Amino acid sequence: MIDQRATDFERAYSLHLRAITAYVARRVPRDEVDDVVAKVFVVAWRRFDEVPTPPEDRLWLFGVARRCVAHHLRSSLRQGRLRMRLVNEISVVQVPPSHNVDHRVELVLMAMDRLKPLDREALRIVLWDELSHTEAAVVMDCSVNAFELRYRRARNSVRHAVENLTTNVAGKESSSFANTALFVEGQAP
Amino acid sequence: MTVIIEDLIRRADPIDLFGLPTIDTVSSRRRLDQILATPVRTAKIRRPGVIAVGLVAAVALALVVLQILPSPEGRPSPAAAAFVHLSRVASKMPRIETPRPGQYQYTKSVSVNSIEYVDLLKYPFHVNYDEQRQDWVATDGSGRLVETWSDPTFPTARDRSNWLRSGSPSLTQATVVETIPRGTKATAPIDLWTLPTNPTKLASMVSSRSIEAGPPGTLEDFTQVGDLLRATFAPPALRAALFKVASHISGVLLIGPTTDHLGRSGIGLAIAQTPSDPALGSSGLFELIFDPTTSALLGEQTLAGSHPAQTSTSGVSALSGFVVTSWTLYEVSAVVDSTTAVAPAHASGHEQ
Repeated sequence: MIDQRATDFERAYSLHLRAITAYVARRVPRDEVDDVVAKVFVVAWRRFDEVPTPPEDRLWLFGVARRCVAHHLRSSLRQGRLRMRLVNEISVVQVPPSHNVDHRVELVLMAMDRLKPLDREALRIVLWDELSHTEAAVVMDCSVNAFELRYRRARNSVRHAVENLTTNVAGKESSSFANTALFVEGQAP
Repeated sequence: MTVIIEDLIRRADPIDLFGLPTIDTVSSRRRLDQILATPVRTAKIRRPGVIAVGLVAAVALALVVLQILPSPEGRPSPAAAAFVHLSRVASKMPRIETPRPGQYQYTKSVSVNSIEYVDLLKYPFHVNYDEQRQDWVATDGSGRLVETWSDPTFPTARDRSNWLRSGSPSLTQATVVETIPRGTKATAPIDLWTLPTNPTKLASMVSSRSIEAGPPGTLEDFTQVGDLLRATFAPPALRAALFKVASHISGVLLIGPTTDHLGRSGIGLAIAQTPSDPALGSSGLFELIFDPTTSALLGEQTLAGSHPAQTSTSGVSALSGFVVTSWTLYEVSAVVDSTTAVAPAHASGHEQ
């Protein structure tokens, strides 16, 4: 019985480790990723009786990961946990635009930083974590309609912000921005 | 050139998917083994026969916990004696006000934090900042968070050099202001008033990771006890019990009188972290600093050394050769009436 449980868990762990690690790594500082990923799978192991059968287990794990990330970032305990690692105690930020890079990517990140947390999450979960809108709605605990509205609002905000930022920077620096920043309306996945 | 905004957002994904771990890596396999070694939570079933089985299991778990604790024979270690002293102090402290509906626990702390700047031109550099954090938390987990970053410094000449090669980008960090919704399930705060004040029961909950998830091991035990002691408003009986639990964690070192970065005096107690570079024999410590007169957690820090800490015949460990790599100090902790109200330092359990 226990052996079967361990076997089934190991299969789920092997199958979803990369996706869950990527999800966590996009949301918490690099040196804290391992801790949070471990917590996600510890929760899964302890509650494995409640985990849906494949392929629904993937969404269940994303839901746990979302709560673990939120808890990690939110918890008043975070303060001490942040300090307990001896090395690699780092977070990662992007350097402001420099030459020889696609500036629009940096502008996108700047625009996303300005979104409301849930709007930003809507873009990340679809475009980075590659969940469908229906799946994302489940993980974010809202209706598909509500998610669609949030997603479109976030996407349009980023598009407009990037266009404005591009115009401003191009006006000041007369760089190559001006020729590369025309966007068309994206299509929902 | 015309692009779809979604494509651009996809390209902004900061994660290199090819660098992610697979189950084949040693670290992934080790983590899996650790997870499989953690106890499995069993559902509560209220049938009488099963309750009897549950009681037997609980007693067995308590016996296991007692077995992993050090033998009562002989004198307690200096660190254990220090924790027992703190337990006595905590038990005599008056109960501190807790937030009522509409009120918030306000905490102000300051720490040194390091940020790695990643330049697409491949000149990464680190910058140290003084990070001031103010946190307002209601009992349902809702509240507000404000973080400010100041006084950037480069840890090494190489960091400064890479910053210059990156075009000397601004090091200003925007203030973070975040409104937090109420917590649910996993995001709900730990209810300190439901935790047992019996040290044996509390030890079993800590070691089974049923209060907070985490990997096995004494470092995690020590960390989790520290997490719970960080809350100054925890009931005195719970704090006293937590110190007793800590007194049974093996491998804790008494650092002795320690002065924190605000000049406050405290008792330092530390546990070894995984060696940062076993090949070089380097070692690290995670230290908690307590006020011996109030038992309040004043701060915590990590230290790095080129060799393990030396313990004198009196049992106090010397940290010569160690350097502080990070620290956090708790300045103020008090109940306030809104998410914008702050409390003076004298309203705190942290001041001296």
